[in-house]
Amino acid sequence: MTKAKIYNSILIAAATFAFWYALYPQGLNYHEEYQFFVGSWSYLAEKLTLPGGFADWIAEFLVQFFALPVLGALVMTLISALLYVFSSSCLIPILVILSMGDCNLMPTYGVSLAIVLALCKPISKSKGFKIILTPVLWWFAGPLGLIAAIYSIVVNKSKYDIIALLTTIAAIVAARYTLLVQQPTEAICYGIFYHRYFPKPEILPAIIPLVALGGIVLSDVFKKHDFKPYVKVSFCILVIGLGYLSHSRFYNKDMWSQLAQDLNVRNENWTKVIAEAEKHQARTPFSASCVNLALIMNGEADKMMEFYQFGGDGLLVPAVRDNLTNMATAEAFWRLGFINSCFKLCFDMQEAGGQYKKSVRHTKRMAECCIVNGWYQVAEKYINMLEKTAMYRSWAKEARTYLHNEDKISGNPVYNYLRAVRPDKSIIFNEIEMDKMLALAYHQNNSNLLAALYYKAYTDIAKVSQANISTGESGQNNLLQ
Amino acid sequence: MKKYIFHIAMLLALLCSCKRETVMINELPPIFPDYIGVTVPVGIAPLNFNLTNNPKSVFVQIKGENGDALTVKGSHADFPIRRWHKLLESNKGGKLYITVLEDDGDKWLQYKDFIIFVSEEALDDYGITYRKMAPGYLTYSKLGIYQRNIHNFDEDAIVESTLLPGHCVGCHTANQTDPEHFMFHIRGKHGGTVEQVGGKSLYLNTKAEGQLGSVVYTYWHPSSNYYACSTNIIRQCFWTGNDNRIEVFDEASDVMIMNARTHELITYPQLSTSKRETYPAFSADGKTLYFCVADDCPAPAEAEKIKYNLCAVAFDENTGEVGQAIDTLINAKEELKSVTMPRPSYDGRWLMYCKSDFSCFPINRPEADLWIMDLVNGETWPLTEANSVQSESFHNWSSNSKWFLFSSRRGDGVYGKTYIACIDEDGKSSKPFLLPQKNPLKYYSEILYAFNVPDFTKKKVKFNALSLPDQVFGDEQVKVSLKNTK
Repeated sequence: MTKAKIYNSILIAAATFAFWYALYPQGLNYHEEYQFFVGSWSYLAEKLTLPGGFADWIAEFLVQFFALPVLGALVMTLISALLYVFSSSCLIPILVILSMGDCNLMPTYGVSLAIVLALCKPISKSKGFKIILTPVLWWFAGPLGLIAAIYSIVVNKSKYDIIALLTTIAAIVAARYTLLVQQPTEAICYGIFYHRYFPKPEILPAIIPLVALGGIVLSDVFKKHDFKPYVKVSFCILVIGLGYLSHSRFYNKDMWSQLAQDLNVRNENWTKVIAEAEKHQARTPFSASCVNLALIMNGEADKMMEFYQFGGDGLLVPAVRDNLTNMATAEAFWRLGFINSCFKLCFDMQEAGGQYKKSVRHTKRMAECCIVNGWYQVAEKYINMLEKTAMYRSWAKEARTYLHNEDKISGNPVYNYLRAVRPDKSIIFNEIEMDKMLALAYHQNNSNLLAALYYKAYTDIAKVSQANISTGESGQNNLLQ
Repeated sequence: MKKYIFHIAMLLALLCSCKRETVMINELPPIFPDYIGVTVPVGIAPLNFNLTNNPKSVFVQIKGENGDALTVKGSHADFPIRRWHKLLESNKGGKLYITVLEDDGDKWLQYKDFIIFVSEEALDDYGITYRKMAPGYLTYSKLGIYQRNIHNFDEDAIVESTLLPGHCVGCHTANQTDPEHFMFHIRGKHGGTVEQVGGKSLYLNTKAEGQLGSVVYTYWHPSSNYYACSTNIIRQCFWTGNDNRIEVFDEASDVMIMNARTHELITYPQLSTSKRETYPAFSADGKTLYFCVADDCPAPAEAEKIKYNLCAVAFDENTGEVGQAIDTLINAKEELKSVTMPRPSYDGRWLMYCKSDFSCFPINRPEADLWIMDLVNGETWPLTEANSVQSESFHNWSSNSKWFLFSSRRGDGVYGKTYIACIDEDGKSSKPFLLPQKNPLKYYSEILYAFNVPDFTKKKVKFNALSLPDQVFGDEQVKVSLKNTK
């Protein structure tokens, strides 16, 4: 490795780490909470049944460590460094970071790209074996694997390379009609695992492979006409600088802020929620519900009108079919003792999580709801899953000790309290008249002060004139889909 | 004497192989699934089971009453398929005696033997179909309609929602287990009904003008020239209490009949009243249409007052006409109960249905049980052996009407599973057995899907899923016409 490459690797690593750890840890949190990596052979086997599944498995393995922001930033740093080393272009890691301004572009995209770029040169040199290796690479890494086939053709121009490409295309077509019957053609073409919701790539993720291909081809060319190290380093600094300056064009401010709120609510860091809203607050029910929860939990409910409000729907947001809008509401329901409603929102948000993946965050909360409700067998199912994860294993082991153990549950202040305040009668939950539900909850148990505070918040909001409250409809958080 | 010799021989074998003590325990083994005392057909997939206390290993011997034996040892009882089938064949109509030993570490613990009965009645159907979906609320992700070979553990997808992003698939119906006539619904922006007849599929738009919506619950006429259907405006609400989660009710519903040859939807005033008519089903001979009806009442405010009766009306397949006189076969409302999901057996002898305290969607009612009516004399009784403290529903018959399957939420109360049982001449059910799996404890503890709408299928369902996206997203729908009878 040349000196320039070493310096550039350090620069890129530092820039990447700073970005993910200091500026955008909420992006790490979003990816981590909406996946569920299970360390079992059957899970790997399931992944291997689809093209790109192996890369997704690697990505999920790495993403599970995003539960600790410093580890998450280090993982992204590693991916960036590998992208630079294998593409010989500092553009690639920066472009990938910019493309992840779409928070639903999965880390799998970057991991696949790194795998493919790492194998481009070895495969191009593998003579006849590339006829088998290229389709295998496609199966393991997804459509980005075709970069290796095209690279081989460009540098070698031999018949084996053309055959390898044709074999890969034939394999894709054959798989489509046999192994991949239940997958849409679009997903097979654009990558099943690259995007949370939409397989068809946006502009940046579409051109990155071309830039990467250009990078590794040109690096072979430029080897003969090598630039001075200081030129290469300067270019890298320039790219990083431009990337930083332009990142706001790729990272939507509202999305940035809402994901930060999501992280802060998850960490119960109410002061940070309020501080983030003071800096910038998105005009959405989700944002309003986060701020209101934080204000109420911080004993600052009287400051509600200093922030953007969405009427009653901005206090406890009615159920919406996406993976974020009801997040703070689910947290509020948990604390209010509306356990069934919390379970329902968590279940549905998990189903809306995209890519048919499960969510560690919601599974954990659902396990707790089941413990409080006495649904021990269902709780055990979720605990069994969480015990197979690296980051939640110890929590799950502790949670298991609560199963069928009424004394232990009574001894846990949170669970004991929730059992006391949850509705003692089975009535139909009325989302439309939430204030009445809150009044009933407080009436049932006066220690449910949160219910009283939320009830007061509803009446306060109702008193405020229409001019101060958004008349927008509560609906899907379209920034995330 | 033979039995003692067998036990002694086995103990000796164990002693020779392991040189360990064997301690007799005067208890039945704690196995999952509970296959103790169940009745199985010849040819069923092996009833593998686990010990719930997760011992180091288990040693299981099955001895047939009429001869033959099978021994396995491992982390769980995992019987080789061919030898299992041979054992069942040679003990048709007899009993299997199962001896279970658990490895305690330094000794074997031998439990009391238990029995599995092998029925004389055949179950020759290829397998079963079901939908697997997460038992959620408003949002669904991956779900699909699958078929499972009941003679082994093979499962294939018929259609999965992955193929149609943003859409749901379900409500699959075959004609008396024959998949030559097969349909299912797709819900979503490009929703419709897939109707496959003799290998050719059509994509139907069943929402006719003036009707409540697209068809929901369907049931083929035995001639396959018609199918009965309902249109329902379905709503959900959610309970606060910890015993119940979801309540599903129809704001309105009607029953009608589709002419499958002309795709003409025929409505009848007596089946489209201000009441809620739903769950149509034809009798085995096709001359009677069964359905359920409830009085209109405000829901969800008075959801507990929604109680369905079971009714019947004559049907003339030559004219497509329905009789004017409607018989109330079961006035469940008088009993303060609700009867839903009538399923006549295909031999014309029985009618199975669900009974719950209220509601049109018994899967969400823990008290929902399976009942049966003798169509010869009209007597009814609960299928006590098949029922549990959790809900039983979505029942269907095998092609020879000797076996039935159903979805039950026994166990955890949330994730429904498929159970199979047989009916004897007196209409009594055997103890049902859980659909076998290779490693059942692992499978059922890890699965995050519920088994929904199980049905037998006489032969393997052949469906070309690849053609579906073009039909669905290309909006190549055949619009049904409407005929309102007077």
